[in-house]
Amino acid sequence: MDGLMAFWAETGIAHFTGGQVLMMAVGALLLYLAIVRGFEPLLLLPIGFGAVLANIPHAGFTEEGGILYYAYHVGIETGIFPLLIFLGVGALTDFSALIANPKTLLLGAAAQFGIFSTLIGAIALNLVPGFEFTMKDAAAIAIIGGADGPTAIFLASKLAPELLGAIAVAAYSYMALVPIIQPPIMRLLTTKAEREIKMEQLREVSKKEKIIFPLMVLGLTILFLPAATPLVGMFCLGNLMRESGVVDRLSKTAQNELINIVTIFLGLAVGSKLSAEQFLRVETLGILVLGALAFSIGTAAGVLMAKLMCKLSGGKVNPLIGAAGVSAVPMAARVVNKVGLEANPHNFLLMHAMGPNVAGVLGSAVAAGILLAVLG
Amino acid sequence: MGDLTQQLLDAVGIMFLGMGLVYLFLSLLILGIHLVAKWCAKDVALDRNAKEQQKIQQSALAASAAPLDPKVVAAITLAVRQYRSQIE
Repeated sequence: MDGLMAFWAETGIAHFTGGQVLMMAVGALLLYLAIVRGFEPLLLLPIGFGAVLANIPHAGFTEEGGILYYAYHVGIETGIFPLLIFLGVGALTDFSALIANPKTLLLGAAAQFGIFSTLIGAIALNLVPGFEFTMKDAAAIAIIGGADGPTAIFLASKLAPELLGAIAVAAYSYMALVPIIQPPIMRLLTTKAEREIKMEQLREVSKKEKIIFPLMVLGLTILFLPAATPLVGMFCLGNLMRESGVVDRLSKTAQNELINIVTIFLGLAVGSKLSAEQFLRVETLGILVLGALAFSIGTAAGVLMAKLMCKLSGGKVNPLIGAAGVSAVPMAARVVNKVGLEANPHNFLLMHAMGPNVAGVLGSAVAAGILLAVLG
Repeated sequence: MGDLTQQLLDAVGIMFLGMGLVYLFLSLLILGIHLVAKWCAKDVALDRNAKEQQKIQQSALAASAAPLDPKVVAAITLAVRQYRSQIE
């Protein structure tokens, strides 16, 4: 009988707390979204599974000695995982569309308004009892508006590590929800005639320009914003490996094996932050609401900037492409293409939207650098 | 309350500073891209020529790699003719 009692005392059932069960349900929800609905499965699946593992009583995944503890400690606390992901994203990114039409960088800049306006929103939320966000917390939350997972994790790990789980989940969930969140905002702010605008074909870009581009971005970052060099530097390294054409093996590794391995551990480590005591707080609710707000404002600012460019260029710019300025590559560009096709079945905006889309990645990395420089 | 007002003012300040710097940085980049584009204007045509030449070379190679041997053609023709006559 004693043996049976001892066994019972070691089972999960005897030790579950309500919070753990709830967080396991959240993990299961993320798994459902990834597997059944196909929302960002590459990230939501490991994050969801990490959430389940982190809430197992007595398993010790997130205590010192557990695998998730070390994955978090080594990869996220140090900021290394997001930077390795950025290396891979750099190797995956083709800047031709941006180099062919550099004005689209302005759209990538406009969409960062979502980040900076949410900063005010997060501080204003302190008026509600129960919220006490510091300026650093507010900045880490606001970066969700950049719609760039690695940047959000990098900044949160530096400015507000205790909010990292909620911020990462919000960032990736909203990126997955791009096709649902963005189209209504895009339709609301544009007329049908504007959505039908066809854009001129982009010019060809030489190999030399593509090689110089990452070096130029790095040079500017070194001169004006050294705080952003970890993110921008790794991004540029990946891109140079791709475009130089002399290290195909390294470029392919960064694009595939490296980014895949890091994604597994990044997802698990973020999931480990979804433990009941860290996640089930009123702040989490605030972060989710503010994140959605940041994302929507960013989209709207991008579209409005594109409208302005449309007016100034005499109707040569389709305002829809402004929405792609929020990064979330390449999902946001695909959404632009889809909404454009709805208005005019012969209007393919994908390549035109890739310009602001990759500009958004640079824009959010620059915004993160500015926040780090000012508050870090 | 006064503290919160100060924080809000700080946040507004960071917003203007941040947006200003993002625009400044990306505008400099636009300028840089234009300068490089001017400098590389000839390279686009060169790249295109190189690509076209490569294509021509490749297609020429493909054509020369598999020349039709008249003996093989004759043998196949004969075999086909024989097969057809057997069927009839």
